[in-house]
This record gives sequence, C-alpha cells and structure tokens, in this order.
Amino acid sequence: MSRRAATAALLIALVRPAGAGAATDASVLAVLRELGRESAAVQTLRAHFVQEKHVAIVRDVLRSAGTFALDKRGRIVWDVVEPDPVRIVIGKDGVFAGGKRVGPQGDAAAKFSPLPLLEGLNDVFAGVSERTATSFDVTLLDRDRLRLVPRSPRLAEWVSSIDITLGSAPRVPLRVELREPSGDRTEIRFSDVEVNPKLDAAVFAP
Amino acid sequence: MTRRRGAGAALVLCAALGCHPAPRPPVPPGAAIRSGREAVAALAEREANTQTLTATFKLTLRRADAGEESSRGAVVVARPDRLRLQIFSFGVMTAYDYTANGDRYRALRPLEGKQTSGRFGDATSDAADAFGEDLRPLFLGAGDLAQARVRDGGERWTVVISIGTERREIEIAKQDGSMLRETLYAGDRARLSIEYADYRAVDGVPMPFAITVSYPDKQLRLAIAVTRYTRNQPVDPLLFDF
Repeated sequence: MSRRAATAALLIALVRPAGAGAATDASVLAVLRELGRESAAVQTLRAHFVQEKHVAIVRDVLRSAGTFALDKRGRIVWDVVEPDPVRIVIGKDGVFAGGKRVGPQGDAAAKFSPLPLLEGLNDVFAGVSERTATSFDVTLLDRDRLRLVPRSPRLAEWVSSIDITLGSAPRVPLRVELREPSGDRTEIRFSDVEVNPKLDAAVFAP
Repeated sequence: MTRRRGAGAALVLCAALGCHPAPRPPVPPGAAIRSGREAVAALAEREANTQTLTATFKLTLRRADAGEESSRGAVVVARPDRLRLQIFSFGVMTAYDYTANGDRYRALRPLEGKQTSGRFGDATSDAADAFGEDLRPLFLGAGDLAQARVRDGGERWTVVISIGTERREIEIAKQDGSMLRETLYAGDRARLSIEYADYRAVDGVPMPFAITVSYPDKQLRLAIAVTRYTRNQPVDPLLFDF
C-alpha cells in the first residue's frame, strides 16, 4: 500500500463511527456529524402531519392527517384525526393502537414483532446524526435532503429507501418519504413543528 | 390483528371484493330479474364484463368480545387467473402482500420478515401461509355456472354453485338484480356469509360499497367500506410477477 493510500485509509478509519458501514463516505459522515450536533438539542418534537400512501397496485392514494409527538428517549405517538381517529403509540413497551397492544404477543413477539423496525424509524423522525450511518447507507441528495438505504436485510424487506428533507432551523425532518420494495411510496409532511415542547407521560399514554 | 385473524380478514375480503365485481347485468341496472335463467345469466355477464378490477377499502374486524381493529387495504384482480391483495397496518406498513398468478401463489409478511410461495394443490406448499385457502375461485370466478341450480326464494333468486366439496349460494334480488348475500358452505355448515349493500354506480354499473362478512363458527364480523373502485382499467402485468 502506498503512503498516500495508507494515509487515506487511516483518515477514513478515524472519521468512521464505530459500527458504521464501510461504504459511508467521509464527507457524508462530516455532514451527519454537523447535523447531529444541530439536532442534539432537540429532545422532544410536536407537529401536525399529513401522510399520503401511494398504493402502486391500484394507483390510489390513502391520505391521513393528525398530530405527531416524539420523545428522543424512545417514545412516539401518532394521533390520527382523519379519515378515522386512531391513536398509535410506539415505545419500549410495544405498539399500541386505539389503546390496545397490537402485533404478536408473548413468545411470538420476540420473533415477529415489528417493534425494532418502528424504533429504527423513531430515530429517523428525531433527526439524523453520525449514528444514522450505522443503520443506513446515507447519500446526500442536496443541502437539505438525504437518502437512507437500510443496511439491515430485515428492514430492507419492508422499506427500500427513506428520503428526508430537513428544515433550515431547526434541522429536523419536515418531509419523510418511505419507498417500499412493492413499489408503494408514503410521503409524510410535517408542519407547525414545535421543538422541545413539554411532553408529559400522558402524551404517550396508550 | 393477529396473524390468523389477518389471514382470515384477507380471505373474506377476497371473497367479498373479488368474486362479485357486479358488472353489467343482462338487463339494465335496477331492472327486475324475472327468472332463474336470467339470474345465472346476470352472474355470467358480471364476470365476462369485468376483466380487471381494483378497489381500496377500510376494513374493520369486530370480535365477539366487542374488540375492534381497523386496517386499510387494496386489491387488484385481472381475470382469468391473477390477483394481488395488500393490507396495511397503521396506514403505512404493508402487513400482507398476497399474489396469485396462474397456479402459483406468494404471501409476503414484511413486518414479520416472512415470505412463502408455492403452487396451489402442491402437497409441499404451506397452505396455511397462502391464507389457508386457494383464493382463485373467490376472486376470479363464481365457478361452473353451466352446472348452477337456482331456487326461487320469494323476493330473491338463490343461485347454487358446487365447487369441489363446497357449494356457494348467491342470492339475487328479483326486484332490481342486486346481489344481496353470498354464503359458502362446507357440507351443511355455513363457513362464510357475505352481505352486500350501499350500491352505487361505478361507470354506470352498481357496485357494493358496504360489505359485511361473517364467520358463523368464529363469531367474527368484518365490515368493509370500499372507498374506490375501478373497472376494466389497464393493469401492469408486472404487478403479478414473483
């Protein structure tokens, strides 16, 4: 190995966070590090959301809207108000919809639970940082947009890519677009974003 | 929704949306069906006149314990032998993605990281992972109408079709030709009952927008509210590839 190549390899090794995929470019990591610093001050978020799922097989759009709240300690709630009111709470205790735990229970939960996937998405909604590169292959689309491709084959079975558009200040997601292997695309747009609102436990009660 | 209940929901949804697209009857929509022969002819024309069908819907599962779960979903049917059904959780995630193409099927459960595929009737296939049923007769055709029998039930005609060891009874209103109810029997036991209501015109053809499916044995009831249909629109054949 030439001295220049060795130096480059050393630099890459130094800037790569522990666990990050080998393919993450140093310049991308630098941007993620900066974004991580800016979003570090964000502990809680609250916003209105509009979600549109574009269903490929029928070329139709399923629309829903409501409010969203997030606590970086691992809690997230989607209060859907239209078309049908439903409250979805995702946390360490599981996934709840309409006040009831959903998904596999008991032993099956460990095997089939979607919770790890949902928790991974919680991180995305909280903002991006160097840590994002441990779970995703990150591409910078422009100054405010990133594309995340799951490194985990398990997650990739459900979502093939996630495009995130960040606000200028604070640098939190204002638009998230999930693409599925099936061809479906879900766009979530956030508005009236509140940073660090006081969110007590009742906000995340199932 | 548990896996089994989800599978059951998928099955009855297939039955509800797939086999009765309610295309053009042999007489103008709303006209009386005057004989058993006309009732059978109406069923045959429904299938012949709808080569492709798509629907999006909300489904609500109601259990005997008053529990209730809702999901949304979509289905596309391309006769004679292709169909695809998806059910979404939380309005976003594709929880079920089922495809039948000819004599092959595939069932994906992305949230569980599961995929199964095989051939209908193949002993090595995991039938339970194909929703425990061969859905093709439900989606893609009412069966051998040439062998159908018809009973006069007063205000309705009942068309009886035998499918293997099962039989299907389809009740058609004499007054206006609308499909009222369908019941699937295994022997003498009714295993599935489907009621159709809230007919509205889609391309001039009455389609049911409210469908109620009951499992008599399981004390389960599924309410399907269709939000949109399309008929005979081009369908990308790649949707059924796997």
